[in-house]
Amino acid sequence: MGLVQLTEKDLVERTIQGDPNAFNLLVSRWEKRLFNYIYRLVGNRDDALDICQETFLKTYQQISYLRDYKKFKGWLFKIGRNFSITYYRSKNQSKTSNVVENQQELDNILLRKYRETSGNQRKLEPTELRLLVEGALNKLNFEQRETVVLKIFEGFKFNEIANILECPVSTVKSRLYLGLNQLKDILMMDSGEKI
Amino acid sequence: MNCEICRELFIDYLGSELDHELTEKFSKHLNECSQCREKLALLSKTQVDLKVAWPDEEVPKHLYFDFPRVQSSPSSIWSAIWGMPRFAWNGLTVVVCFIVCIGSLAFLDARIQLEKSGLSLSFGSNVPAPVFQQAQVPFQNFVDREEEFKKIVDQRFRVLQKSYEGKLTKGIAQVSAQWEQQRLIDIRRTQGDLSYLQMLQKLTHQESARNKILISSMADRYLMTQVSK
Repeated sequence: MGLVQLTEKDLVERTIQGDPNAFNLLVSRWEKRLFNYIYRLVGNRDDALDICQETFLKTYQQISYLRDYKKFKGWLFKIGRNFSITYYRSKNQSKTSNVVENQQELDNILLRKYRETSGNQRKLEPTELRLLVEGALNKLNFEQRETVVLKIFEGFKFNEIANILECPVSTVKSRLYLGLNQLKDILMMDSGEKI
Repeated sequence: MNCEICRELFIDYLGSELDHELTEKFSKHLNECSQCREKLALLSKTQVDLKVAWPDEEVPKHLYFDFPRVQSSPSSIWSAIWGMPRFAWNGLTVVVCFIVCIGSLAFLDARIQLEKSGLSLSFGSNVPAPVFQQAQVPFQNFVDREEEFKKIVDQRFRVLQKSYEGKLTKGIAQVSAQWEQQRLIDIRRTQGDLSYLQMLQKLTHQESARNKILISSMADRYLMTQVSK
């Protein structure tokens, strides 16, 4: 049986036995999702790639401690999340006031344009919409942001998210509700009405 | 369903994790309540906008790790044991606990007996309770159930006989040894008495022979005296 036909369980088992090819196949299966998850958390492509690489490296080093291969996905994302938190903290500490001001100015311009074209999004360029969403996500706190990314972008179930974030499902729902509500308020023309 | 409950379910609905029964009630409320409908529509639009605005990107550079191949070593047995699924660990734990319990009971010389009143646990040597104690409760009216009583008494007797069989054999052997020792002492004493009697008999014979000779000489002398007169 070729490596490509192997299931995730087989690949994890082979990696534990020390087969680097099996691990590289695991990497190729998960790198896109993990990269996009980390990218949406940290907001920088190059840093996301570095974190992604570190995550896979740590995964290889620690994979023998993985007892249940079914939890591989959640475990991988949990490691990625931990690296992203470290990055997020260091980035927040080193952020200068000039950068913050420029970012806010850009967000305000885009928001104004978005609200003017509300109901007719075709007038807003995809890149502009993308920058707008990035800016809106940046305004959320990290917990809300990672919950929104895991649910809306990555499509995890609530119990899977709770496992990755190591918190109750009710907390996950609460964070997602608050985050989505805040995003709605940022993106839509906020009439002061709260849900 | 009221508006408050309906809004609590917004997130479940948007995440497609609302169960069938609640979905029906939820939809029914949305049909009736325009405010909830509008708020849900805004949240849903936000969700769609997010997805559309930031689609998944390809990885800029595919990751590849050039690790050396590790040969499986004897320690892989331990890693295989360590990597056992949870149900196997649970089973192993139950087996170990069972063995520890049985071992503890055996060490404490415990006995579990099934009696009419239920299971009983006792510790110590394997001696059944006295018959009169065991038969007291079920045979208060033993006159009416004589046959059963006899059967139980026989059964208890057999149990007692079996349990005391060892002690009885040991006691008999001890008594036999004592008796044999006593018999040997008696034999030796009787042999001594017999030899004493034989010696007495011998002396008596000698004395009687001497007396016989003396009497015959005295008789001869008397006859000679009479003849000379």
